[in-house]
Amino acid sequence: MTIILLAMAVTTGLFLGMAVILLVAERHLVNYGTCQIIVNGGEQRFSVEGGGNLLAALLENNISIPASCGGKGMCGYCKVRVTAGGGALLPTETPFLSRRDIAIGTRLACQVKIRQDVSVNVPDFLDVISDMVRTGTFDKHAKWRFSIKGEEHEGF
Amino acid sequence: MNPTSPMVILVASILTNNILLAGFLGMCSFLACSTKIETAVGLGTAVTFVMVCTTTLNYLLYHYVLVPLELEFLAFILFIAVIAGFVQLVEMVMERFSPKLYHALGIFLPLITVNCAILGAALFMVIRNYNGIQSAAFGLGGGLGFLLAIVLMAGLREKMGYSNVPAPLRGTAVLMLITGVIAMTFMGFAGMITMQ
Repeated sequence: MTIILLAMAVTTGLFLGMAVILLVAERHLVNYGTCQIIVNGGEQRFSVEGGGNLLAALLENNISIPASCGGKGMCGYCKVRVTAGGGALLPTETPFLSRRDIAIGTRLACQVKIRQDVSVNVPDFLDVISDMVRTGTFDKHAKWRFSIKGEEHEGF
Repeated sequence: MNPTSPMVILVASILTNNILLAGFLGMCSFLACSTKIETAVGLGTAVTFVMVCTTTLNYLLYHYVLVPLELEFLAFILFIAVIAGFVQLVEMVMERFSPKLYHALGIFLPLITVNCAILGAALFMVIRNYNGIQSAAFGLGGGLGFLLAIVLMAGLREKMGYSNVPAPLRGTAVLMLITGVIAMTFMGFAGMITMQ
């Protein structure tokens, strides 16, 4: 009986100790303050707590970006164009981006960590489709074509 | 205590008892991250660093907490917890103080939390009865052995990109064959140093 209690005490003590260390470290080390996300050049803007990733921030504010892997950097669907404040391209993203993508600033939203104000262009047809899905008017048997007009939408 | 000298443990764990090629631990990241030499070096260095630190930490935990309290059976859970916590902490510190290092190594750190080679090193350290210095040497040697193996593999894979692999062997199959061949080559070192 004592051994069970002792085991529980040691495990709990160690886990608690590490949780406290990690929380303190997080409070002091990973604090970026509040950052602005500017979507499509000022069409929409909102403030989020820094430190999270761009995909989560966009989803929280009802901008749906497809991400079948759940933001693990595995599927490569969450491509957005980051025009400012995205930081350097990560090696985890390069397999999903062509040279042209990289040249125009395409990033995987789940791999962009918010450390400062971020300007981002999201493809707008996604909005149309997510509205249709939400209201139940999306016909999955219909064929969809997207024509890409102008310089603004290249890459999507 | 184990009488082997730390220097012998260091060399032996790189060549004769390579944790990857003789123990076949940590195969998942070995196969996944060996596409480019650059990535392989990054992952290998991160593994080396984490392995040295966690093996030492786990040594302290085992011999100064678990053994006196007769709780050796908790080793598995607590070792994993220590590794996970340590990796998280290192990731945060690195990101804050050295963004450059973070970009080179940091992205591999989450992969290392679940790398079985790291847990394997901690458990071997217990089974083989190492003291503190021997454990650190074993951690360093294990990490360097991993680095050596993964860089060799990445070099071969980069070269293989230009060769015509028979269709049924393409992908993982040929990687397994290559791993086997490298492992057999490393068998050549057997008998050079004996370690227990």
